[in-house]
Amino acid sequence: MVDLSWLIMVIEIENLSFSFLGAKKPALKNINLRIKRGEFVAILGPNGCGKTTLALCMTGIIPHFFRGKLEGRVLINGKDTRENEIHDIISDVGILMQDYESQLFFPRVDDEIRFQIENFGISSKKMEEISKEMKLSPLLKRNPLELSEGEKQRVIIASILVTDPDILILDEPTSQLDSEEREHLLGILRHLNAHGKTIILITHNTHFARYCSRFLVIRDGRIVEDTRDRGFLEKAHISDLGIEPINYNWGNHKISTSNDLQITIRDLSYKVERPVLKKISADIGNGEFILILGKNGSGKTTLVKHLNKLLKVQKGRIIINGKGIEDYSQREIAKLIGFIFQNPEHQIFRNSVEDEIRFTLDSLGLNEDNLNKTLELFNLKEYRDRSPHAFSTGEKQRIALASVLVSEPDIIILDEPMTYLDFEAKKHLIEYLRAIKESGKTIIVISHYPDYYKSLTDRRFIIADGKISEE
Amino acid sequence: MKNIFEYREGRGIFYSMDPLIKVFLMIAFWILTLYSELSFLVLLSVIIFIIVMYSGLTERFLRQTRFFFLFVFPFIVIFQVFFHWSFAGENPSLFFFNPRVSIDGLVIGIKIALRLFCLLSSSLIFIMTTSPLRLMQRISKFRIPASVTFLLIFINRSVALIFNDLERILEAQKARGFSIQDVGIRRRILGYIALLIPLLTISLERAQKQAIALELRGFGSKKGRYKN
Repeated sequence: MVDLSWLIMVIEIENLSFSFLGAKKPALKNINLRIKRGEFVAILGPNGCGKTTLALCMTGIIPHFFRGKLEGRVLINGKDTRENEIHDIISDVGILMQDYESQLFFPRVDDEIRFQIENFGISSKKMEEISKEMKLSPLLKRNPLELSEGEKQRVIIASILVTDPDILILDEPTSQLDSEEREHLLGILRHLNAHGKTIILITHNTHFARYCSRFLVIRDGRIVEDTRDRGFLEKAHISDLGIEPINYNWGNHKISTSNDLQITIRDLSYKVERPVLKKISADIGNGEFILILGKNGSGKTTLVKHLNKLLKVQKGRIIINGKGIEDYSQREIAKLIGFIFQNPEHQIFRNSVEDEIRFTLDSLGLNEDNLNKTLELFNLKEYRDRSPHAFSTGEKQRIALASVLVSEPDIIILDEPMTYLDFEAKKHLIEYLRAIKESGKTIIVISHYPDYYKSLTDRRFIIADGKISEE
Repeated sequence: MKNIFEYREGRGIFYSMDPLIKVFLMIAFWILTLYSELSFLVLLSVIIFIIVMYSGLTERFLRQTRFFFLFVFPFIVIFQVFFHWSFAGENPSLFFFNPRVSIDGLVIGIKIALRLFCLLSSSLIFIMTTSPLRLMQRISKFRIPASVTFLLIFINRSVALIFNDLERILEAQKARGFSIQDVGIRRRILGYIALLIPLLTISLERAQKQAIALELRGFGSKKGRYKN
């Protein structure tokens, strides 16, 4: 008998519009979408365009959890999300959220999976089957929060697969992953897709979405493109839609060398339970652009945290502008070195955007000349009185950048600054980094995406197993 | 900081013991602690240390109780040594202390501090050696709503995460030139007060995300084995 299951529509969305309670404009406008079983769909679009809101509608979280005005209907395997409870919908659709750590509750991997088994009253034999399929067997007794980012995601995907849902949605799954982990996740998704699962991938990372069979682009809450053209991501015109084309040329660069030494690191070692850095030595010249590469957990962030005294030197020496780092006060070092953390959530702690930026000026004893200029530069002027916590993660990243760069430090350290940014914001950041590099500032960037910085990088350092090498 | 208050896999009688027996033992230990005199409190403290060492928890336990032994314990003892008589008698003064060194104060100070230590450390040992899921499974069989156990798990985890958030914010402030450890006591207090709102905002945001995640994990589903 001919298998016609691929003809079945697993998701049917008709005239869907949604406005969050109190919002001035709708997050989704008249969405019509039908997705067949076994499709591998990429949902693309700039920050704040409505991608995550659409995913929440597909899982029933909207309208059951968020209040607002919902028009139209969403059917998951024929079940109307408005008429069915979330528990009934999620046996058909699972989601890996952008902040996936919040999906972990227990201090052991097997307990995480068992929790799902108990919640749905499924046979405990499923545990062995799933952990084998997701290659989690050696990790079952580990604490999920101590695993690598890729492993954490695998634990959540394993929990989701307990109920054998037809649809798996992943919201920005690559944001915290290094290149090896990204390819591993992609392998898992392709395997699940080959076994009939419908995969919906929400991402800014077009390279990761290259194997998708269908591409949807959302802008301002509307679907503006829906295509099954496999070559779609390579087309240059998609940049007009706010999407980064694969192989986009981020510019070419002639390496500039500097004889004027600014940072000297000698035999730097650091240990917490196990050695993280092992006798690292490096020199960085004035005005250089240094890119630091390495796997998650290799010690990249630990190294740069030493440069602005967030970590105390245990062994070795660091000299900046001819002076030992121990001779700088915290305020002096913060004036000299601006540090942008990987996760903007960890950098935002004031009650308004303006106050967030002003905090740096106040603590460094600087006047407010740069305040308005910075608000304008980062397109934040009209939001100056709003709470920084009310923005999307990509927008928070912009606020975090503004709050550090307002003091115009001589050395700027950025830890994975592109993580949450969309194509336009990435282009802006590269242009901004180019401008400050041309003004003679030293820039150190940690990244898993070297291609973005091709046009700027003077030298690449690679950290592996706590040791440094230069490429 | 994130994980030091949580259960971790380990070996020993306390790991394999039924969670409900542990609950009863802990309550019995609390009652003994509350009604014991100094010599028995010393014995209970020694028992605590033997259990900790036997369960392989020594390093984590010492990290958790470091603050207590460095600050709380000496504070209670010193306070009682000097001010014990300020609170004694029929009409103890509320605001005007009358400092007077006393041996009675020393004994009472050690007693209070040891009692507090026994109460806190027995709870810690319970948390560190009990799998929350196992506890939830056992409690569900007695028709106690699983949501009660889950609330306890949530609170335990949230306290650790709030400390973690605090560390991260202080680090971000330090990177921007404001180190709360380097300012005077007045600015330090004001600095900590100013952190309450962002900490609360972050915690509420996380609570919302976790509540959604919990729904998505099917907690409370009619098909489930937990009773709500």
